[in-house]
Amino acid sequence: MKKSISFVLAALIATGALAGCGEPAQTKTSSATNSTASTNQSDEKSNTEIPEVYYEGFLPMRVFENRGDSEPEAYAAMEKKIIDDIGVKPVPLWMPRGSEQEKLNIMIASQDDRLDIIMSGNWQDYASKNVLMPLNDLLDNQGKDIVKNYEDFSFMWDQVTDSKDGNIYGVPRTLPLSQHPIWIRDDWAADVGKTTPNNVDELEALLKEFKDKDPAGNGQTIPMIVDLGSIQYGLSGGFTEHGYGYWQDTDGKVKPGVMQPGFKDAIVKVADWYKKGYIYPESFTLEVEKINELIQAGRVGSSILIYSPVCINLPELQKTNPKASYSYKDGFEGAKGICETGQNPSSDSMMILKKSQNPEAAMKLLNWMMDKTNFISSYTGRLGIDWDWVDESASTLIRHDAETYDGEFYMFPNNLMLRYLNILDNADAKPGLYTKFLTVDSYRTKTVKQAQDFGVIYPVSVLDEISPNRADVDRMIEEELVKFITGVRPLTEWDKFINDDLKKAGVDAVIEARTKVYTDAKK
Amino acid sequence: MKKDVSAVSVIPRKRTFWSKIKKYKFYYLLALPGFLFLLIFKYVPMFGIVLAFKDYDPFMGVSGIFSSEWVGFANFTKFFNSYYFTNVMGNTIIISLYKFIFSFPAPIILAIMINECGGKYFKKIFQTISYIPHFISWVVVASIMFTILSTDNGLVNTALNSLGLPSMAFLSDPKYFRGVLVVSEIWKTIGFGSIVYLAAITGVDQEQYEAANMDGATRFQKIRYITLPSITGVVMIMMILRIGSLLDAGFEQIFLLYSPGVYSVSDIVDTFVYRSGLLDNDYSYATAVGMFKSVIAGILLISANFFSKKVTSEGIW
Repeated sequence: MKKSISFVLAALIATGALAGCGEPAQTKTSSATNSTASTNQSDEKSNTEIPEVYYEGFLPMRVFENRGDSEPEAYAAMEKKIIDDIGVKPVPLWMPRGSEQEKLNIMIASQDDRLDIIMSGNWQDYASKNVLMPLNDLLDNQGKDIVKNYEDFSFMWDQVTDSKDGNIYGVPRTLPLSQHPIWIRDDWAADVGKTTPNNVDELEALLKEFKDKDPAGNGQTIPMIVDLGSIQYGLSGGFTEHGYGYWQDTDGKVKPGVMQPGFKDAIVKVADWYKKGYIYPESFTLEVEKINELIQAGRVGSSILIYSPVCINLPELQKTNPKASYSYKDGFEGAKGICETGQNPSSDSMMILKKSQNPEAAMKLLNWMMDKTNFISSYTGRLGIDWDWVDESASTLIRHDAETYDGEFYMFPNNLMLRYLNILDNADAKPGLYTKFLTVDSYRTKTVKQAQDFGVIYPVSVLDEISPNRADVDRMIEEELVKFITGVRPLTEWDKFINDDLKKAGVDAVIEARTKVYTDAKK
Repeated sequence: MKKDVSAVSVIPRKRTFWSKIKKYKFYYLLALPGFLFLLIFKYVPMFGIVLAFKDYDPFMGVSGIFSSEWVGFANFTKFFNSYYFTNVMGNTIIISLYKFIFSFPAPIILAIMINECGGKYFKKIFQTISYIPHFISWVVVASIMFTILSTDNGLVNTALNSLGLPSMAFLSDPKYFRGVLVVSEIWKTIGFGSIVYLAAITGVDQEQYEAANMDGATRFQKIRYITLPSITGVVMIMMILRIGSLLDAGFEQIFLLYSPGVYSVSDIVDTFVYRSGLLDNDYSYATAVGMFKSVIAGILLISANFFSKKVTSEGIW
């Protein structure tokens, strides 16, 4: 008897330990978020008959404004609205912050079929792995509004179409954009007796004034914050003929932007500013949170960064300093013309996975998002309850209670739709800096340079085949440019970097691959 | 002639494997979860090293492990031909050696210092405080390092400036970065690492110290001639185990602290594998690089054990 009890106890402990390691299985029709806790049992039952579409939640909006933390009732109401509209239950899946891409890749590779739509990255990376579903038929049948949405930008379909078989593997997301202007704290410029600079020389003079006169006080002024990508796209064009990007040399070869004549001058200029203390010394190690903190604290005089840190954080800064303002000079110039280079249309897209259980429902959801009102609702909640138009023709709106619904169903279909997201503080307000930039300024084309390879699509398969170690070249460019700017590597070694180091890292193979694709495209 | 009765009576019944299992079934049952854990999570995944010799596509799932094409040593060749092979391997070895040289003896020294402390409560409080960093994640430690070492109002640079010295970019200048790695590693691990040495010191026969006192030995002489020789065995075993993981230069720590400006002194095999495997989806390549590292680590471990047995007669097998 005693032995039997001991055996049962030991067995219980063993099975308990083993069972504790597992997790209950989830089905395709189970509720994936706890926000719907308030939904009653009958609703759950009815939901099981509605196709669920799992999609990769869109992170940036969660970070900057919406937190994905709706009140359960508001979440359920918004979910119900979408179900009522198209008969599809949307379920966002949030990837852990800081490791989004690897978690997404693991999820795609897993046997778990709870993922229908992904929207991080280039369709070629996934199509080459045979995990994507061709969308041609789905677009014809369930995606008519999507096709209509791109009528004026039909060239974008080339970016997501496999030229070999004509299959469309994604819905384009990122149109050509101009988003690296040089922002100036113009109230400070006025304080030091200057105006917003028109060119590099005027900017340099202003940086000197910022450093010498310390408008933030107590030595807290940071004349300029930069990042490497923005130096390339926001400044180097003023020192080169073709702006930043792959360019065709006189020998017919297509080479990386760093090899273009004049690019070195841009780096020499920035290195000089760094040495003089105009540039924040830790610019190349900064996390976005720290940049936000510095701007909100009113310490930053100018920036060569992507538009968003300044645009998003200005309202916070103005709460403590209403006088504070930032602006940029459109068409800002260097010795070789306009400094800013527009970014090429990208192959980033919204994709439906081959293993999707409900591809038609997934396309319906994407199509639903392409309607102006639906798009805004996904971000702000239900029209008439959570928000109302101020002027529908101008797409301006006000939110009634930003805390109720928090944007879980927002998807960021493309930057074109952002034109409709003009949230005002009140009915009499004007669109803020962020809204204005996103909806208007991002589409500047006349006042920026275009790279020579604008619109050329470089198939990953060709790049992989000819230049398998191209990641070494990318790493070297990133690393060495930072070293040149920060003075860790002397600029006297620039020619060695271009002619020796890059060759050893494999730049010739990269040039060969790019040249092949570029010349084929131009034919 | 008298018969040796006792010799006959002590012949034991030969136990079979299953009879032993039956006799000790409760113990085996209780050990079962641990055994299964090791089997499922440590041994079965070792099958994955075949990926190093295949052209595996991660999006093909588990079936791709079997169906993907064999490519021999192509992935290893790709790594050896990479421009950054020597840099990555060099960084891994140098950072590991720095950590080994500076952070391995640190807990031993701390344990001896704690042992020599007189006050009972001071000793306890000091020990507890020294353990705390072990329980702080590297994410938090990285934030602390950024805050303390920043050139912009950071604690260290503010102190340097107040002494009339210029600011130093500890986290973005290759000259200082490895130093930051070693110091932060010591700070985080020294307290917890000292536990095993403290336990060993506690086990030293107190009569030896009493005899030394009677002979008039100084405190340093007691440490030199009693404490250190008494814990040599533990130190050697810990050192062998440490050598086995010598090439684990600290992925989490480096990943959280490094930036492009210091890649040349901080990009290690693990960060290389992370970028190739999880970011570029080249699992086969990443597996080959990881396997190469494991083979080197295995050779180091066997060599260290061999030399330890030769020199001190102590080893882990």
